[in-house]
Amino acid sequence: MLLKYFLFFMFMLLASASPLCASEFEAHSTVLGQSRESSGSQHVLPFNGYVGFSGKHEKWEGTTDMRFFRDFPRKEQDYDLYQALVRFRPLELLSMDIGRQFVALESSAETIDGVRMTLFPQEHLALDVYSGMPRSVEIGDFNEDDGLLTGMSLGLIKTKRTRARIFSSWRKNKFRLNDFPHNDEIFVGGNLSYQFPIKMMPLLYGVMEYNAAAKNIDTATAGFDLYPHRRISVNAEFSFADENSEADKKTVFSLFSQDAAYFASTAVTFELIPDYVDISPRYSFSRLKPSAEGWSNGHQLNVAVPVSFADLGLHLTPSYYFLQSWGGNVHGARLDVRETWQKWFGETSFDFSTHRKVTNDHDRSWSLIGWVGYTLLKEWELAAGMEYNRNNHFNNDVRASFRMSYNFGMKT
Amino acid sequence: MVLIRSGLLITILLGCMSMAAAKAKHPYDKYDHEMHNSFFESAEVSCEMCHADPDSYGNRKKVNRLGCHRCHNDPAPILPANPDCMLCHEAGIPKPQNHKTRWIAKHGSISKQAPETCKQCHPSTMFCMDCHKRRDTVQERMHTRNFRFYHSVEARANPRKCDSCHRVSFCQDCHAGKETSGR
Ligand code: HEC
Ligand code: HEC
Ligand code: HEC
Ligand code: HEC
Ligand code: HEC
Ligand code: HEC
Ligand code: HEC
Repeated sequence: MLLKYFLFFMFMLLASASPLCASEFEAHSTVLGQSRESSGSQHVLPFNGYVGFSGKHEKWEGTTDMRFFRDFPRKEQDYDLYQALVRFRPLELLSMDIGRQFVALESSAETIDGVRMTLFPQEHLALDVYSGMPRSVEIGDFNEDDGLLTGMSLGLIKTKRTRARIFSSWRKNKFRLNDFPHNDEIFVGGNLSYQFPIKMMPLLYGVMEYNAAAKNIDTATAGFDLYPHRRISVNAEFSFADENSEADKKTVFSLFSQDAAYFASTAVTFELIPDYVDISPRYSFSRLKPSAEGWSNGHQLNVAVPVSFADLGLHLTPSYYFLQSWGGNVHGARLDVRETWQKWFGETSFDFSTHRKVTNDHDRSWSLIGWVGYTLLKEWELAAGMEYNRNNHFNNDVRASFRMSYNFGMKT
Repeated sequence: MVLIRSGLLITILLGCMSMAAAKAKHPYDKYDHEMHNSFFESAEVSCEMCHADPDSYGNRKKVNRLGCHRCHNDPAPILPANPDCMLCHEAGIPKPQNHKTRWIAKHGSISKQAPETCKQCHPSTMFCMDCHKRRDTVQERMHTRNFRFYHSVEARANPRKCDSCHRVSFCQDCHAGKETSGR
């Protein structure tokens, strides 16, 4: 708790002082509010306020992003710190990131509280070393059971066609527990891609992760991109996953799969009418073993037809989706529309889906959402939204929302 | 509350400083062919690098679109030239080729190979956290509204995907009635 506030105040201080001394400064803030009924039919007014700053001065760079939550009728409040990071680059060859940060260098994408050091021993090499406690806003801050993640990764940078990285990481799931290997995951792996300098520009990529603590292959993925024509792009990917079943750490995967799992996916994007109409079907197949009783297959299909009239500021995306697993099946149709007209913009989405579940619920859901916004100055935006969501079994709700956002020099 | 107020105050102060919008142009509108011809000569760049199609002398749509990148955006340029993306892409940098198909599903693998390449166009990691970590029920973002009613079907088709962002306790808390995602 104390540490959290300390970090927070440090960064507020840093952030408020930074416009004065930083050579580059960016800030953004958004307030989002909504009036709706909670699942217990109580009227609630959740407000989310986001603030972010980043400043750069010579060798120093600071970035922070946070969220304040308040619900007035329920008198609830909450606070999330998404990042609070100081980057120090004492030399061209070395950069250090200290604080709460998002790292996605090996088997997962995590927020950690820790240190990451990047060394550039040579023009085309980068060596990353990091260590910290993984954090999840979902279970609240600073839980000592969050464990420790330490890793190292060596990759090629600024290369033209070849990308490669080798990495290793060691994760303790509970910080203090010494119960190797149930409490530990040691990954070693590699990641490689190559774009062939020939006609269809095929790009091959692959990832392999081996859990040395449990002696099993955790992930193996291989895929390719292909551009047979200026207007066509194709992707296909095959993947294998198997987790250490002895591990203490429960994952969603370990709840639904008792063995290895296999995935295959493919997708194509055709530009039907260049600059106006695309069509992109996407399909994935999965095979896993949910229980001792046997294997089961999953299917996911999505077909979207984005249409844009850039001159009119109008973008429409109708899509169809289908999902099937042993949990049931889903058919859905969706339409997203966005229109920008001078300083105004409007967005609507309509979504309809029917579900047949193993629990014998055959329900249907509708969702209609609309937003209208106006840009006051280049950086100020005001918007108001309405929603109608209905599920014939579970809920029926109407919501009114507003959003105010402000951006100073921030690129997204 | 003090924090919110001071945050707002800073925001309002900053509001006073605003900038004017500039009209965006196509990269070719900024292209000085005569000046470049002298570079092409010294670096022995053939006209065909961009004019492979004979119609391209009269129709800019037929010019090799990525000819400019050979010097202005290339790890090994023919001639080093100004690499500032905004020099040519005033209206915003277009989506790269790899984003066109199945990008949401495959960006994890690609970003792990070369995380620094994403920074070029997505300089703030808040862009990533917006889907991966941000809690917010006011706006649809990572999941659609209807998803709540069919997440059980997707979880059973691809449970690995959920692990990219969720801990099991998140699922269990809600199923046990302790809804933490009401915000
Ligand atoms: C880096 C790519 C590139 C190279 C190399 C190149 N051109 Fe061009 N050229 C262009 C573009 C782009 C246009 C269209 C300009 C426009 O529409 O404003 C163009 C247009 C032209 C035109 C039409 C008239 C004009 O200037 O708009 C002529 C003639 C021409 N180029 C001749 C040449 C010759 C001769 C060479 C070889 C010395 C050459 N170009 C090399 C990109 C290139
Ligand atoms: C053979 C290499 C080469 C190619 C190909 C090339 N340029 Fe350049 N360009 C240069 C060089 C060298 C300069 C001058 C140095 C500088 O300003 O970076 C320059 C300068 C410029 C400038 C002025 C830069 C400034 O800082 O004001 C613009 C604009 C520009 N190029 C646009 C283009 C466009 C558009 C294309 C494609 C149609 C293109 N260039 C293709 C080499 C190239
Ligand atoms: C000298 C001008 C110039 C500069 C500088 C430049 N580009 Fe481009 N870029 C172009 C042109 C011209 C196109 C083709 C646009 C079109 O077809 O409408 C293009 C297209 C692209 C595309 C689309 C590629 C595709 O295959 O569809 C991407 C992505 C892109 N640029 C990224 C960048 C990035 C990132 C930078 C900065 C590192 C950059 N560009 C700098 C001129 C430039
Ligand atoms: C539009 C929402 C969205 C944004 C923005 C986004 N991601 Fe993701 N990310 C996803 C989804 C969805 C998955 C799971 C994909 C799957 O398995 O099908 C994922 C998966 C990943 C994974 C794989 C995680 C694992 O456990 O294997 C990494 C790494 C990752 N993202 C990194 C990033 C980075 C870095 C950025 C910012 C540059 C980013 N993501 C931005 C939605 C997003
Ligand atoms: C040349 C510029 C460029 C580069 C480099 C780039 N992106 Fe993007 N990216 C874009 C643009 C443009 C969009 C479309 C944004 C939009 O639709 O609002 C986008 C969209 C995305 C989205 C989907 C966001 C959404 O809301 O659906 C993800 C995820 C993403 N990028 C991740 C990455 C990752 C990871 C990398 C590094 C491997 C990367 N990008 C590199 C330009 C880039
Ligand atoms: C790219 C990250 C990402 C992935 C992948 C992801 N989620 Fe989520 N999910 C989120 C975020 C962020 C929220 C929080 C939104 C909020 O505050 O309710 C969320 C919220 C939820 C909710 C609550 C929705 C509601 O209406 O309150 C459910 C249920 C859920 N996820 C299930 C899943 C399941 C099942 C999977 C796997 C099939 C999955 N998620 C995959 C990021 C992700
Ligand atoms: C916002 C609250 C909420 C969250 C968070 C949530 N669920 Fe659910 N879940 C429900 C509700 C309500 C149902 C019952 C309705 C239904 O069957 O769709 C349900 C049903 C399920 C079922 C079907 C139950 C059965 O026995 O057949 C599965 C499987 C499931 N959830 C998986 C998950 C997973 C995995 C996660 C975390 C990634 C998750 N849920 C997160 C609310 C939630």
